[in-house]
Amino acid sequence: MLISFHLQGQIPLRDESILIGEVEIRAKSARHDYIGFKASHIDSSIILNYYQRTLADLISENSVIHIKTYGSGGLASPSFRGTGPGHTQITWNDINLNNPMVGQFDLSLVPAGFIDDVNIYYGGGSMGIHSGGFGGVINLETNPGWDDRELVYLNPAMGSFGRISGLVKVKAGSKDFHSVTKAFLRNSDNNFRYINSVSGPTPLLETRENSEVRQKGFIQEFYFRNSTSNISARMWYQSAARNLPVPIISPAMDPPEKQFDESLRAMLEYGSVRGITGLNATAAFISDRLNYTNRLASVDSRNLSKRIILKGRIERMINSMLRLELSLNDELNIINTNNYADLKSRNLFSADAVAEADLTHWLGGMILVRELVQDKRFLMPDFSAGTEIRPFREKYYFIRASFSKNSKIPTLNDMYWSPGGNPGLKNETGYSSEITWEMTSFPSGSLKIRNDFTIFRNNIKNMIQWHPGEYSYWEAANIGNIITSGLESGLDISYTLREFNASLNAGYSYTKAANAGQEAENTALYGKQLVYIPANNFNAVLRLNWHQFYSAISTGYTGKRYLTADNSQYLPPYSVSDLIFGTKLNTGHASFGLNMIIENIFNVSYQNIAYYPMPGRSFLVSIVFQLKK
Amino acid sequence: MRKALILIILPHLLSCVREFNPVIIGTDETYLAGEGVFILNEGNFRSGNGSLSFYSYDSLKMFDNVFQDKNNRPLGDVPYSMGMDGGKAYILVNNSGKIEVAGWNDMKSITTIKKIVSPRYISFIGGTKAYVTSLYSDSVTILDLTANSVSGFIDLKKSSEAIVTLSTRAYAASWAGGNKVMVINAMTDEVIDSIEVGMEPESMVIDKNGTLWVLCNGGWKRENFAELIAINTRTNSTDKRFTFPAVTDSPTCLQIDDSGATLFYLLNGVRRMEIDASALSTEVFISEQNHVFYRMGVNPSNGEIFITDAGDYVQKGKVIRYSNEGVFISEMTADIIPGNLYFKINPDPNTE
Repeated sequence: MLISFHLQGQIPLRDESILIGEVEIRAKSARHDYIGFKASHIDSSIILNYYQRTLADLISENSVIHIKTYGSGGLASPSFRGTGPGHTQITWNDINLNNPMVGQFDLSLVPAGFIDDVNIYYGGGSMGIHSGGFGGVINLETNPGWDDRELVYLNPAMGSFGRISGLVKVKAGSKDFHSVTKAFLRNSDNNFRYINSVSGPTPLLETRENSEVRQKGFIQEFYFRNSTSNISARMWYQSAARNLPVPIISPAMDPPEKQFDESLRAMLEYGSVRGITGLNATAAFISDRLNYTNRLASVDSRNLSKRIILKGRIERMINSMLRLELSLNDELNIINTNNYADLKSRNLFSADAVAEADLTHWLGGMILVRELVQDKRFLMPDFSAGTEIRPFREKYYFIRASFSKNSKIPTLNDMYWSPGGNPGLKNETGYSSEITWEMTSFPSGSLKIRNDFTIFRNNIKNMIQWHPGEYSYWEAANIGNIITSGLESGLDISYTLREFNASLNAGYSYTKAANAGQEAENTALYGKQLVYIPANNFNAVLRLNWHQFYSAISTGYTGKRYLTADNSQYLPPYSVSDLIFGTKLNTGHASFGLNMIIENIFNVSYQNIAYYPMPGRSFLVSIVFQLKK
Repeated sequence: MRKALILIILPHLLSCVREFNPVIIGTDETYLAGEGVFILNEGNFRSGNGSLSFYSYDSLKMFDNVFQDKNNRPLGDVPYSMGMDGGKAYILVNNSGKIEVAGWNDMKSITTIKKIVSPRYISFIGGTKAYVTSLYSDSVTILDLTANSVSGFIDLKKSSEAIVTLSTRAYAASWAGGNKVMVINAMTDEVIDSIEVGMEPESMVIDKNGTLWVLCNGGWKRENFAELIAINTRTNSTDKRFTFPAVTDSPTCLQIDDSGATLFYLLNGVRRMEIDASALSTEVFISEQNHVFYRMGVNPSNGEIFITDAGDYVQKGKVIRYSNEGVFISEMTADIIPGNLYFKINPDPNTE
């Protein structure tokens, strides 16, 4: 049993290192991989190939999470295990980024190059970070990279459809102090060509209009550490000005709809480990501005949300088997918008207690209990429990099972939007259960095979939906229950021989998501697949590296998505493949690289959302300059 | 490695199976020649799932996706209203900013008039031109019906909704946030007068005496009382003004029967009122029962009343048919958000 100092102050219950031959496996490298729950990780070596692309691209190609997107530069929101965008929480170093007004996060706004690691916690396994993630939590990590040799990273790029972008990283400091600076710029006209066969008697080759995007952002982080503690200060600013294209069944608007997003996120974090006790405290401030204008419809929507978040966690090893953790979180939301009657604020407080135990060498378990306090109102406690069985002592095989009750607070738009907001809404409640089989084997010293298989079920009650109200406008109400269930399977194979390395990462999910409960039983919708939830989703990435050359080909298959609640209309399945290849030349402390990305290499014509055409084949060329110690 | 390649190639093969082609209900070729009712299913905003249904009096069947079936392409986003002139149907597709012109008896596309800003209603002027109102534009668009093209605009300085024509004058209501009816000289295409009415004039009809009836629903904020106003079209002055009793009353969809003597509108059911009545109807003529009435049409040939129920605005809505005495006849399923209705009467009275 090792008690080691982790950068973020997290104490691992046990070191999962198992030596098999000359290979070391480290299972619990991430911070919230609770016993009994599924988690997956996209590390920096994979993210490296996505520096010039968005978080939506990264996640859609490296997980089975379906990303619903309006196209390049357009809103991209995740659908996790058949749940809606608001049921997936996006966090940055554990701090929730979902906008409290709309309850979701636009993955198209974040360049993947800003993030060092992505950790995905499925179902109830997400409760260690935040509540309300019925589908799960996607935690974006930025870290100091104490052992990195990199000092400067320059990555300008140019590509199809007026794309010009650039990413810069600068690291400086000493053994115990690091400054990390990242900056990003992206301009794209997105003026690709497509065939419009729906607007008139004859199909026309048209150019996408009003789809321009202008993005910029930077992150500044300072890290300090000593033998027992660490302190970090982070600031993340970004903005995006974009025109919003309309579906091709509608004529381009003149002037176009415009949206401006601007976010400022600041975070101060302290972590320490003294003996068998760990402590972590975080204070964060987040400001999100979202302005939308539609001059034709005389809409000028101005929305500003400010959040202050305080988090504290203490954990302690009670004995060699048992770890206890106590967390306190407080989040104050203040909303200033011309869409509410007046200024609104809301305070959410939660207290969590976690016990995690390795009972024997083959059996472990955890339980989490959470009490939520909304303003001054105590809510029914939530909980999460999981167990993990290792059936073979010498094998890296796991059986995991869990059950959770989770709550999602209504968004502030659901409560206060004028007209139609409903301050009397109840929380949505999700009951999640899952069983996972995971195995990793090493047929030879150079070959590693890992696969997992999960079946899951979510029962979400008191779903908040907007429905037609009495006075010709829509109102929010708790009117639905949905059940989502399905399976997920993953396969990772890696092979290394001297200077050659090949890896294949593949995932498949089957998701059934349907209305349920008494309200739906007597309607035509009962049992029908929810709109825009594909039953089948598959992706695979094959990576090949040899000496200074690298390549990756990825393909993603998205199954049929229904457009109407009665499932009478649908979008057909599509499959899109991307190719990345490049080379890197090292010269002393510097290196130069050339990288080419071909997106949609087979020029497939497809739509992720009906009547929003996606770009055909496109190219992006970038050069990389690195300066190392 | 071979298996890996199969995994990558297989999805591409599967993706080539079919193109986007929403469901089509099989139909015979002749049903559109008979009499019936067109139902404009608005569909969900920006979802492009608007459609045209036809209820056939011959077969007593509902035919869905008529336009798609005849033209192999979707009708568009929010088909809102239609009109008929010279053997041609003009379907105003609001959020697609276009007017589909199709054969009256077969719904086969003749042409598409594009770049019309948010079209709402159409009114025909003497067989050669038409006026099209707009939710977003401050102008009424003038259509040349011989060329099926835009020939000009009339600047109202405000958006417009309902429009009716009486002889050489057209009356266009400024609905969204407005309280005026604009009077247009249809010979010169000029605004010659404006009449102040209640808040948000939503629908209008002309009775047998040439009186213009304007139903003002009071606005969605419920800050003004709804009103039913009778306007003398010779003087453009108000003859009668009925104020609804509660500020929450939001009447819609004013209709008139073929005799031009009886008004109908929706307010917690169907209300019926004679044009010479001295007060608003206090009784419900047709109760909603388990429905929520959305739009209504009165058949000019037999007085039957057709009402749509958009349900939850997500799944397919209903069309309910009543006799001219308000007796339930039948209920049919249409498509998503069935809205305005247009009666197909043979022979086409506007065909020379």
